[in-house]
Amino acid sequence: MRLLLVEDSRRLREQVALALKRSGYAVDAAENGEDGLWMAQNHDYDAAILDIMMPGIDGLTLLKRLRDSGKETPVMFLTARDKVEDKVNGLRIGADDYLVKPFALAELLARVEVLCRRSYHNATPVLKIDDLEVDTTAKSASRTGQKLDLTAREYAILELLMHRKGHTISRTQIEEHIYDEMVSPMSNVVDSAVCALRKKIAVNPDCRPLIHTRRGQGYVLETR
Amino acid sequence: MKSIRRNLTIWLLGGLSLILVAAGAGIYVAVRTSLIKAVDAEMAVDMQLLRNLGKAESEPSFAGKGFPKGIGKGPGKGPSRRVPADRKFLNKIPAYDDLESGSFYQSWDGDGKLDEKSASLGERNLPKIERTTPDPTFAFDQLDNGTPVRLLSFKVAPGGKGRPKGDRRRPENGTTIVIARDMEATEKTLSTLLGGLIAVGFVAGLGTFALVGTAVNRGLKPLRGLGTKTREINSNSLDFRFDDGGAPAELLPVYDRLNDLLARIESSFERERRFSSDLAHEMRTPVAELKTMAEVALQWPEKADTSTHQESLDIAQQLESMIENLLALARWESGELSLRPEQVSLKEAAEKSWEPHAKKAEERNLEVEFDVTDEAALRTDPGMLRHIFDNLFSNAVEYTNEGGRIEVEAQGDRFEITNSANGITEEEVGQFFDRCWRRDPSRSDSAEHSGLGLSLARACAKALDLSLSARLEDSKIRFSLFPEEKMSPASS
Repeated sequence: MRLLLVEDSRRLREQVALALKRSGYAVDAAENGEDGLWMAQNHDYDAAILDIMMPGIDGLTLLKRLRDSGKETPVMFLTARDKVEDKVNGLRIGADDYLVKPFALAELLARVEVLCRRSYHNATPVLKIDDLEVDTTAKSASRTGQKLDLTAREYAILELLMHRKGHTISRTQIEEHIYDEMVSPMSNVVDSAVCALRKKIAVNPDCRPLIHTRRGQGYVLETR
Repeated sequence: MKSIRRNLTIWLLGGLSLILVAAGAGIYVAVRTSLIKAVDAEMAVDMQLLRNLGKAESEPSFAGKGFPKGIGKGPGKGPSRRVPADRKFLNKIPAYDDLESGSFYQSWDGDGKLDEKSASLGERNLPKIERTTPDPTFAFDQLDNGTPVRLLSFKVAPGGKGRPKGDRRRPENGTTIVIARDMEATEKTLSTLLGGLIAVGFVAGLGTFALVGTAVNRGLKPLRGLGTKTREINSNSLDFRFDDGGAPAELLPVYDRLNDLLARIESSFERERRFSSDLAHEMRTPVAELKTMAEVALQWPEKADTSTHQESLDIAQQLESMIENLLALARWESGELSLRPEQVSLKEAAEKSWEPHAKKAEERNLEVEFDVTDEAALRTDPGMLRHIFDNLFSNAVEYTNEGGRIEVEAQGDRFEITNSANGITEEEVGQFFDRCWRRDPSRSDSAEHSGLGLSLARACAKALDLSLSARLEDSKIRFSLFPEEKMSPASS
């Protein structure tokens, strides 16, 4: 999952980005509204976390312009403004969630998880296909009850495929969602990760293959 | 509790009642006096007539009694019982003969013996008024049967030409004549008048009571309205203003004053609210930073590094500084401080205070000009003055536009610092000294500033009896510091 974080406080931006990255998200961080708006309009983020009071373009204006440009990225405001009217105003402009500073990190992570799920129209944190299960809260996967030992990258690819099961996802899309702007992946890194993932989810010889390659298009997760 | 309504009612009712009673009494007394005067005048005419008649026609018949015998001769006894040979006096005033006339007279000789009385008296007698002077005397009295009468008593001196030789009786020993008028009808008229006045007074009193009540109610209606509206004002309705359209002229200054007061209170509340909100924001961001850092470190302890601890320490110091500033502000605003005033050279103090800011000014390419005379000095606390200068310089270096200019001037006991600033407005200048106010609402520079510097500087200045003000001049901000008694009207 790839997130956008726009926050003018350097320390908070760094710490929240760190926490999100360690929770398995790819995070792009911007320190002002102008940069944040550009990034939000030019990348396909799974969710965006915006401060409201920022130099230049404030969070509310950023969200308005984002919605005006047709982007439906789920957005959460992270702000010190705690008045009811501020919250109502933020939600009415098009935000999906609102969290007041100071906040509990666990709550922030849980809300971000919900936002990401909502972007794929999944209501529950446990995603299933055949006998494969992915727990997006615990960031773990299991097949036939047997826990899979996945790297962070492998898990991210699997979660993305699970969220969009039945749909073909290109390598570029996978890269877009699992790597942040600081990473320039090698051309075959997705392929090798998918290959490793296939092997790991085939926990026994009887298991049906679930990840299929569509030549020239990408990968699809489905039962055949 | 004092009540305007009650006071007005009491005073108006009391006053109007007194006026009514006095008017009634005046009318009664005037009518009574007028009626009595008419009776008295009538009797005086009769007295004069009797005297004239006595002189002109009865000279011979006075016979040592001093008054013509036979005047009003009634059924008397002794000499007075004599029927006069000539009843011309009575014929002249026939009313005294008529029993129903209400006009009486009676006379006594010099020895006090009944001489004569009018036929109208019948069996009744007039009271004799003992007199010591020959002047006529009026009096009220009653006849034997209780009939109220008005009396006129006078004396006729004995003698004239017919006075026997050797009669040494003095004039006061002459005949005493009392003439009288029946006052029963007059008394009845006066009683009727009195009854009428009382009735009219009662009705007028009731009318006055109703009128006063209505007038007071109507007159005090705007005041009651003012009271009701004032009671409804609370901290949530400070935007309320009294509508003075249609208000009575007497209340217009009150309305104006109250509206002015409400505007000031609202502005003050707004500043306090903004301060609370700003302060909450100032505190929330570093607390959020600290909390997130701690939570990240706890959740991924294996990846924690020492830079996190340094950041935590920085945040703690920032919070500590903010708390110190707030405490200092509260202390200085409440005047809790001890000052050590001494003669301070403004040049020396300004140059020392500038030193820590010189490097940053250089980094921002600021042009700085000092125009401070050696004589410029103030008798004040040097430590607090340095604090003011420090905040002013810090503010100037921070907010002067890149490559801009700072001018520091001091002459006499006046210190001024001017810096260029792009796009600043009069409204923003007016908010400079508000606690936690910052031009950039995002407070993205919160790590270094909390918006308390200028508030602190002004609190310091106030504690030192100095005035610190700011005004906009040709897109430049000019801060002025000078003793309060020299405050100029242009300062804000």
